[in-house]
Amino acid sequence: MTPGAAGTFAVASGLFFSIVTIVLYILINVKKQTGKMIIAARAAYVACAASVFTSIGTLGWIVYHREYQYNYAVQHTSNELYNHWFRFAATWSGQEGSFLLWATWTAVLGLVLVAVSKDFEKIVVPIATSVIGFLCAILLKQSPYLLFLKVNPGMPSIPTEGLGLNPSLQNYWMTIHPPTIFFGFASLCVPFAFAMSALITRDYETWVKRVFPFALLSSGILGLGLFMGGYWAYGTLGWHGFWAWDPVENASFFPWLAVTAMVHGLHVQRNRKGMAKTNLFLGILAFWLFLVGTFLTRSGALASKGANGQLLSVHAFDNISKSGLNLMVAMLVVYGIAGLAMWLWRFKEVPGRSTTGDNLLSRDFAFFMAVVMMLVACAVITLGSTTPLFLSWAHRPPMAPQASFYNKVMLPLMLPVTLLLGAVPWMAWRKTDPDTFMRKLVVPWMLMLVFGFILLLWVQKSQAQLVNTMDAATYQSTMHNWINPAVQRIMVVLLGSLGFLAALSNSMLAYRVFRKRPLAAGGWISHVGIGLLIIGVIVSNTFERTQIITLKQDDGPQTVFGYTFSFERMTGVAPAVRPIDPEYDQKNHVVLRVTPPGGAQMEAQGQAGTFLLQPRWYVPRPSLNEESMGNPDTMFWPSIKKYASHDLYVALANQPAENLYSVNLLPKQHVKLGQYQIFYLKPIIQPLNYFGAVMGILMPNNKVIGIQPGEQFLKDGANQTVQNDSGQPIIYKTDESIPQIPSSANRPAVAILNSLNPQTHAVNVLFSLPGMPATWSIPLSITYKPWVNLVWIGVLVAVFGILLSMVNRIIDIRRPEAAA
Amino acid sequence: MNRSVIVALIVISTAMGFTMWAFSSSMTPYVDIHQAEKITGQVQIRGKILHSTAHWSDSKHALVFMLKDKNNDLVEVDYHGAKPEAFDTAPETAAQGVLSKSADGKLVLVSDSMVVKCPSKYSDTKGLKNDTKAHSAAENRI
Repeated sequence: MTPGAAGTFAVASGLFFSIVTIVLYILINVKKQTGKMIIAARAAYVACAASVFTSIGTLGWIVYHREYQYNYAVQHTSNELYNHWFRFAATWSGQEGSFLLWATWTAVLGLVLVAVSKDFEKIVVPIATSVIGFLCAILLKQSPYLLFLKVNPGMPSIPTEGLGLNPSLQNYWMTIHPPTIFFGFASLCVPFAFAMSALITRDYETWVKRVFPFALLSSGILGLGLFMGGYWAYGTLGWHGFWAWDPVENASFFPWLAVTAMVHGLHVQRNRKGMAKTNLFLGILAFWLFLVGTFLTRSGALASKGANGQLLSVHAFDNISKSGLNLMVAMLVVYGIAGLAMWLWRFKEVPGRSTTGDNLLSRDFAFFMAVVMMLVACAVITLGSTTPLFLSWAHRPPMAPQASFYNKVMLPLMLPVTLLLGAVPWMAWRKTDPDTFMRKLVVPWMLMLVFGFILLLWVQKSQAQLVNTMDAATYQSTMHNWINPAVQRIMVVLLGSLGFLAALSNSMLAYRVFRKRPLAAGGWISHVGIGLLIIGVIVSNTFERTQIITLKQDDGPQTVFGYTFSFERMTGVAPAVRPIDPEYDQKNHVVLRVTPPGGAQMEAQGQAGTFLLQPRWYVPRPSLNEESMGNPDTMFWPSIKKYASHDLYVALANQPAENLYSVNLLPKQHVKLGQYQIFYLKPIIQPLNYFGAVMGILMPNNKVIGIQPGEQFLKDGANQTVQNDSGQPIIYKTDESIPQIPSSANRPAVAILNSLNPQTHAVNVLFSLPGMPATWSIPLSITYKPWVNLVWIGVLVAVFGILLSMVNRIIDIRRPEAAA
Repeated sequence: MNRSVIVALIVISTAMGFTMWAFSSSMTPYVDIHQAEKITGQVQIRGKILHSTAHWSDSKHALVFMLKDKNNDLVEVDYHGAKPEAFDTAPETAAQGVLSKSADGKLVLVSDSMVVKCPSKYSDTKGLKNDTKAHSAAENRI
């Protein structure tokens, strides 16, 4: 059996066994049967899971072994992809592969559920299985195992090379970020299944304890996935920030908000028996919102109609088949309607207790407000991200709200949230004695005022620096254009101080709890992280400063934000036909030597006062022909120098350019160029085929070297000239290199024909020769990002806290009820 | 109704009002160049990138290129920022910024944000289906 047939068979068998599993479990529920029937149902489930594992294994095998007879391999891998991890990670770089990854994680979680969910098994497992069933159906309609020649009937033969993995994805994050975020996504079906089980069996209490670890798992893993995505975008992809409010990012953020709101609601229900209805709703909502997000990013709604291609999101998929899309819509409708109908049906009989009305100064109220505000944020982000969908349904031109929309809404919303975060550790359940509350809060409050004062001084200094160092256009483009400096000062100081209070109060309580029961401190620890994150986000976003410069090799070093930049070299190895173009080498780095403030003194004292920053720049260009077909994609990677207090973020703002020595000549003329004499004898003109200039260089040692820089018209198979989109023939340069003249200082000698007038025969030729080498102009975007480390530390601390809580809640299940 | 629900309602309604304001103020409409000339604030112009005109301006520290809208009107775009990764192969862009007249009376869109199409070479089937170039290129290398 071919791997493709095996894969297709495995997907079909996954669908078959998922249906069998569901039917068996339904029978168990209806007939109240146990024993043999359960064993049969479990066996069917294991077969279903095994099928899913087989199908992803097969796809992995096809991609890893570059089986180019399959379209998926042609699309997603290439011979150049040599790193074993990337070769494997290419499996989930496409639409179908990521569906398969989702199915795989759901299958894994299903196995866990079979093992641990006990009396919930008979409802929870079939619901999880139904997700696998849907995914298998989608994969049958949108198969990753299609043969290349079937998909591309016009092609003469199976290619020997694939299109490859986008170089910006060739990063270790590609191997861990997608599996992590998809594990988080897949896990959202567990709270959904438990909520449905509670609603079906009318047991609104027991499920809380059982679902709690899973809800925390979703929140923690999704949080970790979001962190990885942000760090990847920041550190490697060169997005200049950790969060861009891109619809695809949002699509993973709003389910996180819903499931994290649920975690808070579950906490209330465990302690105070309140929010039962809310929790059931949130369990359903979180999974459904994930489906909405998936639909949004895969439906092509973010890719505008017509030939324009996608303009609204940087990384949405838009190639799902019609039937695959219909199945996605079916999932949205089925899970949405089933969940909502069940919830409304049982709404009246779910025990409601007005816990929230007791006292405004109580943990009950604080948690209630936390849930409310997370849901408000969730609603805003969901609405903002789905705007293009609604507009496309209304046949209006697609538009997406810009990042400033989210910033504007989130900033004021964060104020009460942060205040609550700082106050909640000093509140008691039910009712807090105001005097005790104030007494406990007094120390953190004083410290916060000290911090706030220092922050104010820092903010004033930074604002002055912002105005001084940024050029007007860049300054305008940041969030400063909607917030005036005074308001900005107040907001930053207020939010930063409250973030500090949140981190401080929670760490004080976390420390106290941790000493007695380490596992119980998880929630407080995660709040410490959120406090740090808030400070990091507000400060780094408001006070990052960017300056764009053109660093010229001739003009020497330039100083930005106190750092002096000088160009050292390019590390790429240029191909023989393009001797001065290092960018075709994937390992090309632009080596910059940076002298930080005070670096010169250190250097004078014999210490290493400088460091290297190496932003990367690479042009994937597989052949000479493709080069001439137009501008290929240019890849940029930033380079970051991390300090405790800030990052220095350096990226190329554009391709570096070579400055060469230009010579204009008519036939039989000559001209002096430095220590050389350049002669131009005659042109060679073959219309629509070749232009060249027969020239000579008189060297300082009186030797003459003949050269013939030229331009070749690109031909297709039938010897016809190939034209570009605007009808111009495509031309590429020939005979650039002058091998007779040895390289000096790593700069090879070149002569490039820039233009040749067919009437007057006048030529313009560009030279780089020993003693007068080509020099680089390097456009650099330099950003000073203060306090950005707090963002990463904050998220990691929060995720650690959440996962610690998860462990605590797993143990809690075994704990006798009285002790809880 | 108890107090906490009232507080919650206040928060929600404030947030809703604020959201509406933020939403309406951050949806920059797509306009053509002709319409854009009448607008003093932020506009978003969508059109073809004339790649042959795209270059880095050392003096402006900006990526400068001509944009042709659907009426075939032309405008110069000065994009202040790092070049988007897919710019070189993107047929179209939506550039956002403020339209102004330069010293020599030329219309210039001073832009700070630009959305471009993803690199088509890597976005699945498109790269192969509509041309045989990718295929022949692969052959040429061997």
